[in-house]
Amino acid sequence: MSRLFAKNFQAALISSLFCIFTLFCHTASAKDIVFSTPQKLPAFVLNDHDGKPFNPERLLNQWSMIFVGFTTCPDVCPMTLSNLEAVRADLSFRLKPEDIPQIVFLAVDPDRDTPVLKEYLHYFHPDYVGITGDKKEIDRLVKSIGGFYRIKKKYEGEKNYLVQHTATVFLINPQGELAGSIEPPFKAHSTGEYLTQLIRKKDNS
Amino acid sequence: MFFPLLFKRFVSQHDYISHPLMALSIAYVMFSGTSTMAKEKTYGHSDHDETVLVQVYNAWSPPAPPVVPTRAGYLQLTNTSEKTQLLQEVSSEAFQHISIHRTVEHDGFMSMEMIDELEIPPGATRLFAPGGLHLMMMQPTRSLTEGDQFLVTFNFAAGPGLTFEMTVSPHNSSPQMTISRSMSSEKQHVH
Repeated sequence: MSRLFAKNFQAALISSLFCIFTLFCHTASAKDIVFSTPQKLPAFVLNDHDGKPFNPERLLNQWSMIFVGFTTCPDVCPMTLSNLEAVRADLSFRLKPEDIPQIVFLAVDPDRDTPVLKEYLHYFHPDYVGITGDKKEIDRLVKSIGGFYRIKKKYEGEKNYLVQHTATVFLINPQGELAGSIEPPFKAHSTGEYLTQLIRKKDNS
Repeated sequence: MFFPLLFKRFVSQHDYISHPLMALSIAYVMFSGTSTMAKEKTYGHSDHDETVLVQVYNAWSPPAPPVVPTRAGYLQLTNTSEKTQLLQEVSSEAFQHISIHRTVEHDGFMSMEMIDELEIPPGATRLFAPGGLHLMMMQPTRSLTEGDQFLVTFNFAAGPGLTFEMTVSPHNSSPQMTISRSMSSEKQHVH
Protein backbone atom coordinates (compact mmCIF):
# COMPACT_ATOMS: atom_id res chain seq x y z
CA MET A 1 0.00 0.00 0.00
CA SER A 2 2.66 2.46 1.06
CA ARG A 3 4.71 1.38 -1.89
CA LEU A 4 1.82 2.15 -4.19
CA PHE A 5 1.45 5.50 -2.52
CA ALA A 6 5.13 6.25 -2.96
CA LYS A 7 4.88 5.32 -6.61
CA ASN A 8 1.86 7.56 -7.10
CA PHE A 9 3.52 10.32 -5.16
CA GLN A 10 6.59 10.02 -7.31
CA ALA A 11 4.51 10.18 -10.46
CA ALA A 12 2.63 13.20 -9.14
CA LEU A 13 5.87 14.91 -8.23
CA ILE A 14 7.35 14.29 -11.65
CA SER A 15 4.26 15.50 -13.43
CA SER A 16 4.00 18.62 -11.27
CA LEU A 17 7.67 19.38 -11.86
CA PHE A 18 7.04 18.91 -15.55
CA CYS A 19 4.10 21.33 -15.32
CA ILE A 20 6.25 23.92 -13.59
CA PHE A 21 8.94 23.40 -16.19
CA THR A 22 6.57 23.82 -19.12
CA LEU A 23 5.01 26.84 -17.43
CA PHE A 24 8.42 28.47 -17.35
CA CYS A 25 9.03 27.56 -20.96
CA HIS A 26 5.78 29.11 -22.02
CA THR A 27 6.31 32.28 -20.07
CA ALA A 28 7.73 34.95 -22.34
CA SER A 29 10.88 36.92 -21.59
CA ALA A 30 11.63 37.85 -17.99
CA LYS A 31 11.58 41.51 -18.96
CA ASP A 32 7.93 41.35 -20.03
CA ILE A 33 5.77 43.70 -18.03
CA VAL A 34 2.09 43.66 -17.23
CA PHE A 35 0.82 46.73 -15.39
CA SER A 36 -1.60 46.15 -12.55
CA THR A 37 -2.99 49.60 -13.30
CA PRO A 38 -2.95 50.26 -17.04
CA GLN A 39 -1.65 53.67 -18.05
CA LYS A 40 -3.72 56.18 -19.98
CA LEU A 41 -2.24 57.51 -23.21
CA PRO A 42 -2.14 61.23 -24.01
CA ALA A 43 -4.01 62.72 -26.96
CA PHE A 44 -2.04 62.38 -30.19
CA VAL A 45 -2.82 62.79 -33.87
CA LEU A 46 -0.93 60.74 -36.39
CA ASN A 47 -1.85 59.44 -39.84
CA ASP A 48 -2.37 55.84 -40.82
CA HIS A 49 -0.89 54.35 -43.99
CA ASP A 50 -3.95 55.52 -45.97
CA GLY A 51 -3.44 59.09 -44.77
CA LYS A 52 -6.46 58.94 -42.47
CA PRO A 53 -6.15 60.43 -38.97
CA PHE A 54 -5.02 58.00 -36.32
CA ASN A 55 -5.82 59.16 -32.78
CA PRO A 56 -6.32 57.29 -29.47
CA GLU A 57 -9.87 56.35 -30.51
CA ARG A 58 -8.44 54.02 -33.10
CA LEU A 59 -7.04 51.96 -30.24
CA LEU A 60 -10.40 51.42 -28.56
CA ASN A 61 -12.51 48.22 -28.45
CA GLN A 62 -9.69 45.91 -29.48
CA TRP A 63 -6.25 44.87 -28.32
CA SER A 64 -3.29 46.44 -30.11
CA MET A 65 0.41 45.69 -30.28
CA ILE A 66 2.53 48.73 -31.11
CA PHE A 67 5.98 48.24 -32.56
CA VAL A 68 8.34 51.18 -33.05
CA GLY A 69 10.42 50.93 -36.21
CA PHE A 70 11.30 52.35 -39.60
CA THR A 71 10.78 51.01 -43.12
CA THR A 72 14.41 51.01 -44.26
CA CYS A 73 15.42 48.84 -41.30
CA PRO A 74 16.74 45.69 -43.00
CA ASP A 75 17.07 43.22 -40.17
CA VAL A 76 15.05 43.73 -36.98
CA CYS A 77 11.85 45.29 -38.35
CA PRO A 78 11.05 42.70 -41.05
CA MET A 79 11.97 39.95 -38.62
CA THR A 80 9.71 41.38 -35.91
CA LEU A 81 6.81 41.97 -38.29
CA SER A 82 7.09 38.40 -39.56
CA ASN A 83 7.32 37.07 -36.01
CA LEU A 84 4.28 39.05 -34.89
CA GLU A 85 2.31 37.62 -37.77
CA ALA A 86 3.27 34.14 -36.58
CA VAL A 87 2.16 35.13 -33.06
CA ARG A 88 -1.19 36.29 -34.45
CA ALA A 89 -1.56 33.01 -36.31
CA ASP A 90 -0.95 31.19 -33.04
CA LEU A 91 -3.49 33.41 -31.25
CA SER A 92 -6.11 32.61 -33.87
CA PHE A 93 -6.25 29.06 -32.44
CA ARG A 94 -6.63 30.31 -28.90
CA LEU A 95 -8.75 33.46 -28.95
CA LYS A 96 -11.95 34.79 -30.45
CA PRO A 97 -11.20 36.72 -33.67
CA GLU A 98 -12.21 40.02 -32.03
CA ASP A 99 -9.64 39.45 -29.25
CA ILE A 100 -6.68 39.04 -31.58
CA PRO A 101 -4.59 42.21 -31.31
CA GLN A 102 -4.16 44.52 -34.26
CA ILE A 103 -0.53 45.18 -35.19
CA VAL A 104 0.35 48.86 -35.26
CA PHE A 105 3.72 49.77 -36.78
CA LEU A 106 4.76 53.17 -35.50
CA ALA A 107 7.11 54.46 -38.19
CA VAL A 108 9.45 57.00 -36.62
CA ASP A 109 11.30 58.11 -39.75
CA PRO A 110 8.46 59.98 -41.52
CA ASP A 111 10.66 61.48 -44.26
CA ARG A 112 11.42 58.04 -45.65
CA ASP A 113 8.49 56.09 -44.20
CA THR A 114 5.45 58.14 -45.23
CA PRO A 115 5.63 57.56 -49.01
CA VAL A 116 6.10 53.80 -48.73
CA LEU A 117 4.26 52.88 -45.54
CA LYS A 118 1.16 51.40 -47.14
CA GLU A 119 3.00 49.16 -49.58
CA TYR A 120 5.54 48.20 -46.93
CA LEU A 121 2.98 46.98 -44.41
CA HIS A 122 0.73 45.41 -46.98
CA TYR A 123 3.68 43.26 -47.91
CA PHE A 124 3.75 41.73 -44.43
CA HIS A 125 0.02 41.56 -43.86
CA PRO A 126 -2.90 43.52 -45.33
CA ASP A 127 -4.36 43.97 -41.83
CA TYR A 128 -1.31 45.70 -40.41
CA VAL A 129 -1.75 49.36 -39.58
CA GLY A 130 1.14 51.75 -40.19
CA ILE A 131 1.14 55.10 -38.45
CA THR A 132 3.44 58.09 -38.72
CA GLY A 133 3.22 61.88 -38.77
CA ASP A 134 4.78 64.98 -37.24
CA LYS A 135 7.84 64.40 -35.13
CA LYS A 136 6.19 66.08 -32.12
CA GLU A 137 3.20 63.73 -32.28
CA ILE A 138 5.41 60.67 -32.81
CA ASP A 139 7.55 61.70 -29.84
CA ARG A 140 4.51 62.19 -27.64
CA LEU A 141 3.22 58.67 -28.30
CA VAL A 142 6.65 57.05 -28.12
CA LYS A 143 7.41 58.73 -24.80
CA SER A 144 4.03 57.87 -23.29
CA ILE A 145 4.41 54.16 -23.98
CA GLY A 146 7.98 54.10 -22.70
CA GLY A 147 9.56 53.68 -26.10
CA PHE A 148 12.69 55.19 -27.56
CA TYR A 149 14.19 56.03 -30.93
CA ARG A 150 16.98 58.13 -32.33
CA ILE A 151 17.60 59.12 -35.92
CA LYS A 152 21.33 58.85 -36.38
CA LYS A 153 22.05 61.35 -39.13
CA LYS A 154 25.72 62.18 -39.33
CA TYR A 155 25.00 65.34 -41.33
CA GLU A 156 21.97 67.15 -42.71
CA GLY A 157 20.93 65.60 -46.00
CA GLU A 158 22.49 62.19 -45.35
CA LYS A 159 20.47 59.56 -47.15
CA ASN A 160 21.61 56.23 -45.76
CA TYR A 161 21.29 57.06 -42.09
CA LEU A 162 20.21 54.55 -39.48
CA VAL A 163 17.60 54.68 -36.75
CA GLN A 164 18.05 53.27 -33.28
CA HIS A 165 14.79 52.08 -31.77
CA THR A 166 13.08 50.13 -29.01
CA ALA A 167 12.83 46.40 -29.58
CA THR A 168 9.85 46.15 -27.24
CA VAL A 169 6.29 45.60 -28.40
CA PHE A 170 3.73 47.59 -26.41
CA LEU A 171 0.32 46.19 -25.52
CA ILE A 172 -2.68 48.46 -25.57
CA ASN A 173 -5.92 47.18 -24.05
CA PRO A 174 -9.41 47.73 -25.52
CA GLN A 175 -9.79 50.81 -23.29
CA GLY A 176 -6.88 52.37 -25.20
CA GLU A 177 -4.51 52.12 -22.22
CA LEU A 178 -0.98 50.83 -22.05
CA ALA A 179 -1.43 47.42 -20.43
CA GLY A 180 2.12 46.10 -20.66
CA SER A 181 5.00 45.29 -22.94
CA ILE A 182 6.72 42.23 -24.33
CA GLU A 183 10.33 41.72 -25.28
CA PRO A 184 11.88 39.77 -28.16
CA PRO A 185 12.23 37.08 -29.26
CA PHE A 186 8.60 36.86 -30.22
CA LYS A 187 8.26 33.11 -30.64
CA ALA A 188 4.84 32.21 -31.93
CA HIS A 189 3.98 29.57 -29.36
CA SER A 190 5.36 31.08 -26.15
CA THR A 191 4.36 34.67 -26.90
CA GLY A 192 0.95 33.46 -28.10
CA GLU A 193 0.40 31.57 -24.88
CA TYR A 194 1.54 34.49 -22.76
CA LEU A 195 -0.74 36.93 -24.57
CA THR A 196 -3.67 34.53 -24.40
CA GLN A 197 -3.41 34.36 -20.61
CA LEU A 198 -3.16 38.12 -20.38
CA ILE A 199 -6.03 38.86 -22.74
CA ARG A 200 -8.37 36.27 -21.22
CA LYS A 201 -7.61 37.51 -17.72
CA LYS A 202 -8.30 41.13 -18.65
CA ASP A 203 -11.50 40.14 -20.44
CA ASN A 204 -12.79 38.45 -17.31
CA SER A 205 -11.81 41.20 -14.89
CA MET B 1 13.46 25.50 -56.00
CA PHE B 2 16.32 27.30 -54.33
CA PHE B 3 19.54 25.55 -53.66
CA PRO B 4 22.57 27.16 -52.13
CA LEU B 5 25.56 26.73 -54.35
CA LEU B 6 28.92 26.77 -52.79
CA PHE B 7 31.64 28.90 -54.22
CA LYS B 8 35.12 28.70 -52.95
CA ARG B 9 38.31 30.57 -53.18
CA PHE B 10 40.83 28.60 -55.10
CA VAL B 11 44.32 29.95 -55.01
CA SER B 12 47.02 29.13 -57.43
CA GLN B 13 50.34 29.07 -55.66
CA HIS B 14 52.10 30.43 -58.73
CA ASP B 15 50.33 33.65 -59.50
CA TYR B 16 47.74 34.17 -56.77
CA ILE B 17 45.02 34.64 -59.35
CA SER B 18 41.78 33.32 -58.05
CA HIS B 19 39.69 30.75 -59.83
CA PRO B 20 36.25 30.94 -58.30
CA LEU B 21 35.20 27.49 -59.38
CA MET B 22 31.72 26.50 -58.64
CA ALA B 23 31.59 23.68 -56.19
CA LEU B 24 28.62 21.61 -55.34
CA SER B 25 27.03 21.40 -52.04
CA ILE B 26 24.60 19.00 -50.59
CA ALA B 27 23.24 21.20 -47.94
CA TYR B 28 20.82 20.35 -45.29
CA VAL B 29 19.39 23.73 -44.53
CA MET B 30 17.56 24.73 -41.41
CA PHE B 31 16.28 28.24 -41.15
CA SER B 32 14.82 27.82 -37.70
CA GLY B 33 16.32 30.83 -36.04
CA THR B 34 19.99 30.36 -35.44
CA SER B 35 20.61 26.76 -36.27
CA THR B 36 22.18 26.23 -39.62
CA MET B 37 23.73 22.98 -40.52
CA ALA B 38 25.40 22.20 -43.74
CA LYS B 39 27.14 19.24 -45.21
CA GLU B 40 29.09 19.71 -48.32
CA LYS B 41 30.84 17.79 -50.98
CA THR B 42 33.37 19.43 -53.17
CA TYR B 43 34.33 18.67 -56.71
CA GLY B 44 37.10 20.51 -58.46
CA HIS B 45 39.67 20.43 -61.22
CA SER B 46 42.91 18.83 -60.29
CA ASP B 47 45.07 20.80 -62.72
CA HIS B 48 45.27 23.67 -60.22
CA ASP B 49 46.91 23.62 -56.89
CA GLU B 50 43.88 24.49 -54.86
CA THR B 51 43.68 25.81 -51.36
CA VAL B 52 40.28 26.45 -49.94
CA LEU B 53 40.55 29.45 -47.66
CA VAL B 54 37.05 30.55 -46.90
CA GLN B 55 33.67 28.96 -47.49
CA VAL B 56 30.22 30.43 -47.66
CA TYR B 57 27.12 28.37 -47.01
CA ASN B 58 23.41 29.09 -47.21
CA ALA B 59 23.57 32.64 -48.48
CA TRP B 60 20.04 33.99 -48.43
CA SER B 61 18.22 37.28 -48.38
CA PRO B 62 14.62 37.59 -47.25
CA PRO B 63 12.28 39.10 -49.82
CA ALA B 64 11.33 42.65 -48.93
CA PRO B 65 8.72 45.13 -50.10
CA PRO B 66 9.89 46.55 -53.45
CA VAL B 67 9.44 50.10 -52.12
CA VAL B 68 12.18 49.63 -49.58
CA PRO B 69 15.76 50.24 -50.80
CA THR B 70 17.39 48.02 -48.18
CA ARG B 71 17.77 44.29 -47.83
CA ALA B 72 19.50 42.03 -45.37
CA GLY B 73 21.86 39.25 -46.36
CA TYR B 74 22.46 36.16 -44.24
CA LEU B 75 24.96 33.35 -44.58
CA GLN B 76 27.50 31.21 -42.85
CA LEU B 77 31.15 32.08 -43.38
CA THR B 78 33.83 29.60 -42.38
CA ASN B 79 37.56 30.14 -42.40
CA THR B 80 39.08 26.84 -43.47
CA SER B 81 42.60 28.21 -43.73
CA GLU B 82 45.28 28.31 -41.08
CA LYS B 83 45.45 32.08 -41.01
CA THR B 84 43.07 34.68 -39.65
CA GLN B 85 41.02 36.18 -42.46
CA LEU B 86 39.89 39.79 -42.38
CA LEU B 87 36.73 40.54 -44.34
CA GLN B 88 37.00 44.17 -45.35
CA GLU B 89 34.76 44.86 -48.30
CA VAL B 90 31.51 43.48 -49.66
CA SER B 91 30.08 44.27 -53.07
CA SER B 92 27.39 42.96 -55.40
CA GLU B 93 26.18 43.43 -58.92
CA ALA B 94 22.67 43.81 -57.51
CA PHE B 95 23.31 46.56 -54.93
CA GLN B 96 25.07 49.90 -55.02
CA HIS B 97 26.33 49.66 -51.49
CA ILE B 98 26.83 46.86 -48.97
CA SER B 99 28.16 47.08 -45.45
CA ILE B 100 28.56 44.60 -42.63
CA HIS B 101 26.31 45.31 -39.68
CA ARG B 102 25.52 43.79 -36.38
CA THR B 103 22.21 44.30 -34.60
CA VAL B 104 22.84 44.84 -30.93
CA GLU B 105 20.44 45.13 -28.07
CA HIS B 106 21.21 47.32 -25.08
CA ASP B 107 18.50 47.46 -22.42
CA GLY B 108 15.73 46.81 -24.91
CA PHE B 109 17.05 49.20 -27.54
CA MET B 110 17.97 47.82 -30.90
CA SER B 111 20.68 49.51 -32.84
CA MET B 112 23.03 48.61 -35.60
CA GLU B 113 26.78 48.72 -35.44
CA MET B 114 28.76 49.03 -38.59
CA ILE B 115 31.68 46.63 -38.75
CA ASP B 116 34.63 47.91 -40.73
CA GLU B 117 36.58 44.69 -40.62
CA LEU B 118 35.30 41.27 -39.64
CA GLU B 119 37.92 38.97 -38.19
CA ILE B 120 37.54 35.25 -38.75
CA PRO B 121 40.15 33.20 -36.87
CA PRO B 122 41.36 29.90 -38.37
CA GLY B 123 38.62 27.29 -38.23
CA ALA B 124 36.05 29.78 -36.99
CA THR B 125 32.59 30.32 -38.43
CA ARG B 126 30.73 33.62 -38.48
CA LEU B 127 26.99 33.21 -38.71
CA PHE B 128 25.10 36.04 -40.35
CA ALA B 129 21.54 35.56 -39.07
CA PRO B 130 18.41 37.61 -38.31
CA GLY B 131 18.83 39.75 -35.23
CA GLY B 132 22.62 39.62 -35.32
CA LEU B 133 25.37 39.89 -37.86
CA HIS B 134 24.05 40.73 -41.33
CA LEU B 135 24.88 42.31 -44.64
CA MET B 136 23.09 45.61 -45.01
CA MET B 137 22.50 45.85 -48.75
CA MET B 138 21.35 49.21 -50.08
CA GLN B 139 20.02 50.64 -53.34
CA PRO B 140 19.24 47.55 -55.44
CA THR B 141 20.11 47.92 -59.10
CA ARG B 142 17.25 45.67 -60.18
CA SER B 143 14.08 44.20 -58.79
CA LEU B 144 14.64 41.13 -56.65
CA THR B 145 11.84 38.75 -55.85
CA GLU B 146 11.65 35.35 -54.25
CA GLY B 147 13.76 32.80 -56.03
CA ASP B 148 16.05 35.38 -57.67
CA GLN B 149 19.77 34.97 -57.31
CA PHE B 150 22.58 37.49 -57.39
CA LEU B 151 26.33 37.51 -56.93
CA VAL B 152 28.05 38.88 -53.86
CA THR B 153 31.80 39.35 -53.53
CA PHE B 154 33.79 39.35 -50.31
CA ASN B 155 37.20 41.02 -50.34
CA PHE B 156 39.67 40.16 -47.66
CA ALA B 157 42.74 41.96 -46.33
CA ALA B 158 44.97 39.45 -48.07
CA GLY B 159 44.48 37.09 -50.98
CA PRO B 160 41.84 36.96 -53.65
CA GLY B 161 38.16 37.71 -53.32
CA LEU B 162 35.35 35.24 -52.90
CA THR B 163 32.28 35.46 -55.08
CA PHE B 164 29.15 33.53 -54.21
CA GLU B 165 25.51 33.40 -55.09
CA MET B 166 22.81 34.65 -52.75
CA THR B 167 19.19 33.59 -53.11
CA VAL B 168 16.12 35.63 -52.27
CA SER B 169 14.27 33.32 -49.94
CA PRO B 170 11.77 33.90 -47.11
CA HIS B 171 12.47 33.77 -43.38
CA ASN B 172 10.30 30.80 -42.76
CA SER B 173 11.82 28.36 -45.20
CA SER B 174 11.16 24.94 -43.88
CA PRO B 175 14.04 22.54 -43.33
CA GLN B 176 14.85 21.00 -46.63
CA MET B 177 17.37 18.82 -48.33
CA THR B 178 18.77 20.54 -51.35
CA ILE B 179 20.80 18.77 -53.97
CA SER B 180 22.34 20.57 -56.84
CA ARG B 181 20.75 19.84 -60.18
CA SER B 182 24.00 19.79 -62.11
CA MET B 183 25.59 17.15 -59.93
CA SER B 184 25.74 14.39 -62.50
CA SER B 185 27.50 16.53 -65.11
CA GLU B 186 29.87 18.04 -62.57
CA LYS B 187 30.81 14.62 -61.28
CA GLN B 188 32.69 13.97 -64.48
CA HIS B 189 35.28 16.50 -63.39
CA VAL B 190 36.16 14.57 -60.31
CA HIS B 191 39.42 12.74 -60.50
